[in-house]
Order: sequence, then structure tokens, then C-alpha cells
Amino acid sequence: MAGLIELSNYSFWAAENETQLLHNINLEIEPGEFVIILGPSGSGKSTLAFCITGIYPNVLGGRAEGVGRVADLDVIETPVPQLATHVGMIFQDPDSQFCNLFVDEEVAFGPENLLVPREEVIRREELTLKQVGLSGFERRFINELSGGQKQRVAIASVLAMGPDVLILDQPTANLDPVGKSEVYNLLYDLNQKQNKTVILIEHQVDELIKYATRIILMDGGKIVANGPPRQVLKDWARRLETEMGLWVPEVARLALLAEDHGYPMSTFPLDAEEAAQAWLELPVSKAESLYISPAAEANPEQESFVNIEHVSYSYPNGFKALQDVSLSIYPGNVVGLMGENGSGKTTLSRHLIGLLKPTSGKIMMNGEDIAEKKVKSIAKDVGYVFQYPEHQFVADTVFDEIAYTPRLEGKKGDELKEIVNKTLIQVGLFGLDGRHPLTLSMGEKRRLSIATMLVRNPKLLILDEPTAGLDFRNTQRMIDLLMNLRAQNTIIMLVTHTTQLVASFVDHVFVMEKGELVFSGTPQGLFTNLSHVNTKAIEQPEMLKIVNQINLRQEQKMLPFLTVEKLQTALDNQKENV
Amino acid sequence: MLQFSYLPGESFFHRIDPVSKFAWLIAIAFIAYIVTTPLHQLVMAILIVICALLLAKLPARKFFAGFSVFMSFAVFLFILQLLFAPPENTRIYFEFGIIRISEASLRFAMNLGIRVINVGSSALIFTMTTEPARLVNSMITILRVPYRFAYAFYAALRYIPVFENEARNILNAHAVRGAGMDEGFLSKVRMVTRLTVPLLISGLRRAKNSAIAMEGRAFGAYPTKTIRVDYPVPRSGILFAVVWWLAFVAYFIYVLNTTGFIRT
Repeated sequence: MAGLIELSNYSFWAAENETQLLHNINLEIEPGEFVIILGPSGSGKSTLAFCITGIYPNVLGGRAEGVGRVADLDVIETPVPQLATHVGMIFQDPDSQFCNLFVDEEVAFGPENLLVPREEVIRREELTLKQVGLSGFERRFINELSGGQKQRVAIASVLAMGPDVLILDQPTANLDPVGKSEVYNLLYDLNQKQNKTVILIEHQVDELIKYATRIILMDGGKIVANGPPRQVLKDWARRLETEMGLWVPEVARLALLAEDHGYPMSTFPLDAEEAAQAWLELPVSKAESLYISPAAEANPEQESFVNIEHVSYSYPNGFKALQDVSLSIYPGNVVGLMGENGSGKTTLSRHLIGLLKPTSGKIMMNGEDIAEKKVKSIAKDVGYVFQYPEHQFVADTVFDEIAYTPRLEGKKGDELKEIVNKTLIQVGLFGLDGRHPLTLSMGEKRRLSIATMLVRNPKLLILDEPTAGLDFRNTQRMIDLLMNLRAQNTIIMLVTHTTQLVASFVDHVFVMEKGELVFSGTPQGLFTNLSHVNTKAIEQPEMLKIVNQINLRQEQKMLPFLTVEKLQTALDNQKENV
Repeated sequence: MLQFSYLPGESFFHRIDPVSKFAWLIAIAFIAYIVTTPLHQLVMAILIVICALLLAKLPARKFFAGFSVFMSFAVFLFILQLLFAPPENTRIYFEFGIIRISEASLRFAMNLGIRVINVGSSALIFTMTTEPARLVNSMITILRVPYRFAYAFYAALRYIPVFENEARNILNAHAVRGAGMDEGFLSKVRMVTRLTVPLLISGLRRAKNSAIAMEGRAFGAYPTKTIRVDYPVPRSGILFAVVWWLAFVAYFIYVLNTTGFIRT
């Protein structure tokens, strides 16, 4: 029998300007596979997904050539509603893919439109809600669910149409770690127990590789690699990062590091256990610097910049978002603020810029109580970068965007130009000053929104999920920018779910849970004692998982490195010392 | 906007079917239109409040919170009418330039103000007690409205909380930049214009995503859809609507009588 999905010599051109988006795709996917599609932005991943579901060319237009079949239906000719009973698609943004107000209506929507008899609609509704673990949620408002629950509703409502294939385009990009693992576990379950074929487009795949039967790598509208995860990663890991600007899983990175030291691993590892085993076979694993902690640098005693003293906050509806939170923030630090969605971390950060005022307790900044201060005056010292840069833009050109605040302060002429140019260079946007902010790429928009804050030389810069949705290359640029600021003694506060970001760059981390501060300390202290911290919202760094596996297997205990990069630094230092 | 949305509950108004309820709503609008005596208008306002609190069992606080929106509009209209409506040969209480407060303008103003409240608050009761899905269902099954139209109306409701949330975020994001922090009418206007573009853009993006999602869920594959739930059409609801329509007809005859259109 032919594959469940079969494309041969399939090409696709966009409707507007006949740009070719897909070139001669040849692909065969068997029932029950778990496929991950990787590739830089614009490489054609989403286009491919839209072509398999028939949305291209049937809904969004365009021209397709070649052969494409899903469950023996022609994907170019068959109407989307008919294809939808064989292949369903789930998107990144949970909010725009719902068509109804309540959970049960949403799940029943597809079958109802297909005129499935009533008893069968109700049966499917019960069954699929049970499959996604949301029985009892029938009469809940979708709008009031958590991100993970919303995505599970989306999956249930697609399942209710009875497809064999699920295609998901970055379904966890907007979710916290709890939501993310809910979705991943569900997908694995559907794949294993219901034999559903899962095709998943994702950027960061560390936790996913163990589920996958295949990785497809796309670049420039072509499939450049297609095979078992181990093979694809082994062949492509190095180029993923350097040429395509993609995230490389930490296990693969460790393998590359070993290779760089002249010791290729016997098997290319896919998870922490394999990585630990392969690593221990190598002589480099015995390097002294991996076991002896370097002398701690003495931290000079400093005055805190922010002092939050017993702050509580209740929303007008009575919800207690913060309960007796006390903490201090010191100059020259990168501070991480972590916690589940709804844990109070955004509420807390909004207090620091004066958007919210404590119900009780007080916040001292630079020795002054900010209770009576307006946002406008606090904003002279504190910058706040929102997660969606578009929300923050107020002008029509990049130049005016950056010039906005200096103009309010009365700057003009050459002085203004100089300030703007300096800032443009600082964030790497020089030469783009005439562009409309909304025409920039995501990475550029993020840096522009930071620029609008930097122009005032803030003492404290708060960033809400600054790397969400960015690929490796843009994340790297963002981090370089932040590290430069830190070197100039700006305090950086990252409000984030991203373990990797905190593990790599943060000096001090605070963890919120249900409105309370449950941890304050170094990232190392947090991640090595995760089981003692009262939160589910934090993932262990992949490298630390490997270290734990290594230490299970030997007497001598390796230092708790949080990232492969830190391990690399330790090895490099040793070389220098010899 | 959330203060106008559906509040699940158990009451006479929640039980009766949306079409009868809609007939009631129209009857009120008609009556409010033909009533020109402030006292009669006020009697109806009291009846509507009784409907809201006793028959619809709406929490007083929520009902009056929504109510207050119409109240401010009513006050605005009241002042306008009071100052500028023609005196029509009645007693003039106060005159200054083009402003003339007269017995007639006071009567007009009161009547119009209460009329706005009557129409607004009855519509409020309707939306607060009507489950949107049931309304769509009744539109399709009873009024035979084509499914596509009925649904489009319903889909719009889904986006209200999403946009509300987004607007709040944008305002905060702008505030941090030092924009829109000043009080006053002009800066309020500027604030709204600044909100428009980003909301429009995200609206367009969402519209595209929604279209794709709906297509993928076979929306519009057939002119109809499976009706999954049969909602009851209680006779009490029909009776209720009929009583209000009779009231309208009765009042209409009364008006014709008093204005001398009918001679006996």
C-alpha cells in the first residue's frame, strides 16, 4: 500500500507574485509516524503543512504542480472539508482558531458542519474530550481556559472530525512549560494508543526527539534532509546552528563539543541517558576542570536598586495576585523572574513601572517610595519591553519610533539625530530608520522595542519573554545586546519561562507560584534543587539532566553545568591554565 | 464590554426561547417609541427593572453596572433636549441666547431620556439572559435564518473578550512609553486613534487565521448543519411576548384616541 501522505514532484507558487514557495517536494509518510519538521523561518514548513491540508491552493489561493495525495485523495483537487476528515491542522495562536464560545460547541462544530447525525456528534464529543483529558469541561467558556487546555480543546475539535493525521504548527510557542508538556504528552499518547500520524513543526525539539520517528529538515522551500532523528541530527547538527540559525538540542551540542576536542561519540545521542553513556566513554570526561569548582568571585557589597517590601496586590475582582512578596534587585545583575502563567510574575513586574500599585506593602526604588509616582516619572529610570513589540509602537518610521520619547523631552535637530543614530547602532538596526516599524522582521521588531526604551538610558530594563518565537540566530543577537547593556551596569530583568535563557545568562532568579515568592537565588541553586521548590512551571536544563545521568554512573561527581556552553568554558579555562 | 455578555443562570428569562424574548424586546421598543408622557415612560422603566430583577434574576450590581452606560447617554440626550427643544407655546422657565428651557422641552427631555434607558436596559436583559448558541439555534430552526448569517453574528461575539484584552495591553504598552498619560478629552481621542491601527492589524491577521480554521472545520460545506441540541420553546414565553404586544396595541389605540385620530 502507498503511504498515507504522498507528495511527488510537488511544487507550489504563491498567488500574489508567483514566488515559488515549494520546490519539487518528494515525501512519503506512513500511518502511525511521528514526524518533526525543522527549518528556518520562511523555509516552507508552514506552506508544506497548508498544502497537505489543502488550504493551499484551495482556500488561500496559489498554484500547485505535481502529485499530492492524502489517504488516496488528491490534495490539489479535493475540497478542504472533505480532506479535513483525513487530516486536521492545529495552529500556534489558540485564540484565533476557535469558532465558538463553549468547549462542547467547539468540539461539535466540525461534525455538525459535516451533517454527522446528532447521536454520533454527541458520541464523538464525549470521546474526544475524554481523549484529551477534558471530560467535564463541556460547558466551560473557552476564553477562560489555560493555554494548554485551549490547545487540547483545539486538538479535540480537530479529532472529532475523525482524521488519521494531525499537523501542528508550533502548537506550544505561546505556552508555559506546564501547558507545553500537557500538549506533548497528549500528542505522544494519540500517536501510541490511537495510532494517529503526528506531524509537528517546532523550533526547539529537545524534549521531542525521543518521540519522533523521523525528522524532515527544510530550507529554501526544499526538503534537505529526511530520515531517522539520529541520522539527521548527526549529519546536520553543526550546520543547523551555523548555516540555518536553528536551535540545536543540547545533547547534540555536547556531541559536537566532544568532536571538537577530538573525541567523536560512538553513538550520536538523542537523550540525556545516551549522552551520559557516550560521554563517559571519552577521555575528555575526566578533565579536572569539570570537577573542581573555580574560586567564587567575591561579590562587592552593593546598595540595592529596588526593594520590594511585603507587597500584596488584589485585582478589583478580588483575585489575590501577589501575597506578601519581598525581594531586592542589585545593580549590574541580570535577574530572572519565572513562574507559571497566572503565578503573578507579570503583575509583579508591572508594579515596578507603576502600571499597578500595591494594595499593601511598599516598593522603594533608588531610595524613594514609588507609590505616589506616575508611570511617566518612573519610566525615566525603568524601561519595560512588552512581549508583543507591535503593541508598543506609536510612530510610522523606525526613526520616529526611537525619537518619540526624546522629542517629548524637548530634544530636536542634530542632537536628536545623534541620539537616535547611536541607539540604532546599539541595537543593530542602523540603516533601517526610514522603514515602517510593522514591516520589520520579528527579531528586528523586538530590538526596536528595546531601542525605544534604551534611548532614555534606563537603570532597570524589564523584558517580557524577549526571545519568544525567535530562532537561534535572532535569540543570539538579542542576548548579545543584553549582555552589552549589562556590561554598562544596566540591570536587566527577564520575565520568562525559558529555562535555557535563565540557565545561560541570569545571575539571580526569582520564582513565583500562586502569587507568592517561592525561590530566590542563583540559577544553579534553583535547577539543582528543583524538587524542593514549590512549582511545576520550571523545566530542568537539558545539560543538567545529562550531568545527573553522568553522576549516577560514576563515583566522582561532575559539577552541575547548566549549559553545554558553560562546560565548554570550563574546559577552555583548563587549557589556558596548562 | 464584558458587562453586557451572557450570564448563565436559572430564571424565567433564561428558560423562554430567544425568539419570544426578541419579540418582547421589539414590543418594548415600539411602546417606548409611541409613549410621549414621561410618567408612562417611567412606569415602563419600573416594569423593566422588575423583569430584570425578578423574572431574569440578574444580580442587581451587574445589571445596574450595564445600566449606567445607558444612563450617561440618557443624561446627555436629556440635557441636549432640555436646552434646545422647541417650546411649542408652553411656559418658558429660562431663556439665554439660543437656550430655552420650557415646559415642553422638559417633557421631551425626560421622555427621551427614559426612553433610551428603557430600550437599552431591555436589550441588556436580553443579552444577559440569552445564551448565544441558543440564539443562533433558534434563528436557524424557528426564524429559518440561513446558517451562515446566523453564525457570522455568533462569531463576532467570540472576539469581544480577545480584543478587550488586547486593547488593555496596548494601552499599557503605550503608557510605558510616556504616551497617553495626560487627562482630558483631546488626549482620549488621540488614545483611541493610536489604538485603532494595531487593533486593526491584529484583527486582519486573526480574520485570516479564523477563515483557515473555519474552512478546516468544514464550515459552509452544506447550507445547514446538524442541530445537536433541541431547545424547548415554552408556551409561557410565547404568552409573555403576546401580552406585551397586546399592551402595545392597547396603548396605540389609547394614543390614537387621546390625540383625536379616532372619533367615536
